[in-house]
Amino acid sequence: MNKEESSCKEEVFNSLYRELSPALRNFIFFKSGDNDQSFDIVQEAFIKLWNNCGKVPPSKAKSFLYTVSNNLFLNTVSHRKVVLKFRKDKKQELNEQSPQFLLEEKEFGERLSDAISELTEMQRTAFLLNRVEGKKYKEIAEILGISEKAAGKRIHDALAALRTKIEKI
Amino acid sequence: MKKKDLLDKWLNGELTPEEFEVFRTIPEFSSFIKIDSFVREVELPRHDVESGLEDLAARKSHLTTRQKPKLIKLATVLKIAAALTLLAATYLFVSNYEIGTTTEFTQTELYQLPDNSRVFLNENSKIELKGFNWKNNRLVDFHGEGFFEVQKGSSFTVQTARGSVTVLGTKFNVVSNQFGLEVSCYEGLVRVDQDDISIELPAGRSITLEGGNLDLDDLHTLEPGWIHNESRFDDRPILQVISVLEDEYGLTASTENIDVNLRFTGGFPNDDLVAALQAITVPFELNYTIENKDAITIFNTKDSE
Repeated sequence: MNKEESSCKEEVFNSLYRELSPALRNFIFFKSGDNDQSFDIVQEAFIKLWNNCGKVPPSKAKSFLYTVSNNLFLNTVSHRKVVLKFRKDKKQELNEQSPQFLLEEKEFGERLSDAISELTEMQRTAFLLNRVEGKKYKEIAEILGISEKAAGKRIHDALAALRTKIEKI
Repeated sequence: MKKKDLLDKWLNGELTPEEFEVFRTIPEFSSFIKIDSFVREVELPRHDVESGLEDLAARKSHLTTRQKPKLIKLATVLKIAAALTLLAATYLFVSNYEIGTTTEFTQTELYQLPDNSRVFLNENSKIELKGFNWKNNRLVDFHGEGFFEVQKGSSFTVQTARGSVTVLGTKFNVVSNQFGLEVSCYEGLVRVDQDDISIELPAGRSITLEGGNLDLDDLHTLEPGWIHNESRFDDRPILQVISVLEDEYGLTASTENIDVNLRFTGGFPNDDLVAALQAITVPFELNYTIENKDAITIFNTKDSE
């Protein structure tokens, strides 16, 4: 009976932010590799949602936010090289392993980071959404506005490119 | 199952344990697993939802305070003011717009009022009335002499410098000049107001207000004489009679040796100067000379006793 609640309502809007902003932040971070910039874009995107809350019901908010964020990212003047870092502290137990092994691990991380930065922006985003966020092809396809097949292809390509780059050295 | 399909299933987390056993036999397996283990540990921005919401609230309020102030442009104000001024000016003009007519010497005129009432103006008379919404407030400003035939309706008032006449019935004659106010009611009922005097005048009666004097008289005719090109008088001072003569014929009348207390009852035609002069002079045993067409003299040959 009740129509869907309006995005203009403060509680509705805030719950959308709680639900969608963390993943959106990562999405932009995968594209830009810039902590501050990804925050700004997320905030800008939600401001745009607020200004258009009458036209965008909560069910459409997610795709609106991803589209707007992507446009905001593309509009930024300079795209830096995306250099990702990997947490080492998780490998605490491994620290007691041989120094040789630790060195190899560090080296591998650096090579992987290099390789990721050399991926195309489209490959990297799809790949990281899948591997880091655990999103399936279907959801990635929705976010990026492409087919599931194309999403799978990008991830395959990314994986193949990373493996080749890492093993070549 | 093909390698590509296995990879898809692995990436989507949909491998069954049996399929996983197959997957781990492919040559790239160890590479994939190692890459995956690193990538899963990528350092992500620490996104604090609550501080993000606060930041958002700040941006929103900034947004609203920046957009809110509604400026009314001076030009808009001026436009509105101009429109109002124009309206007010139009109203003043229309509501004060006066129509009417004036008669010159020796000229009479029939003037039709907006409600089809009629006024016969004798010479040297003037009628003025508001052109706007007159029918709801029938008031005319009047000077001179006029015969009014008033249509039925709301009250009808003739305002003169010497008092006002309000119509309660129909036909009446008004004379307002330097001598006083004279009202003759031929049909119906009129009310005559002067200062604090208020008199209802029935048909067949006339009233003369002259200085502080008030005279009520009977009428013997159904219409004033001048309508038929005659001037009629009922016990009027001789000078007033001569003044009417001057008006009617458009000339200057001089008097010599005349008793100003003489009072005249009777009439004279307005289109025959000699007959008119005789009508005035004969009863008083006066004489007259016509100097030219613009001047006459009325004089008394007998020495006053």
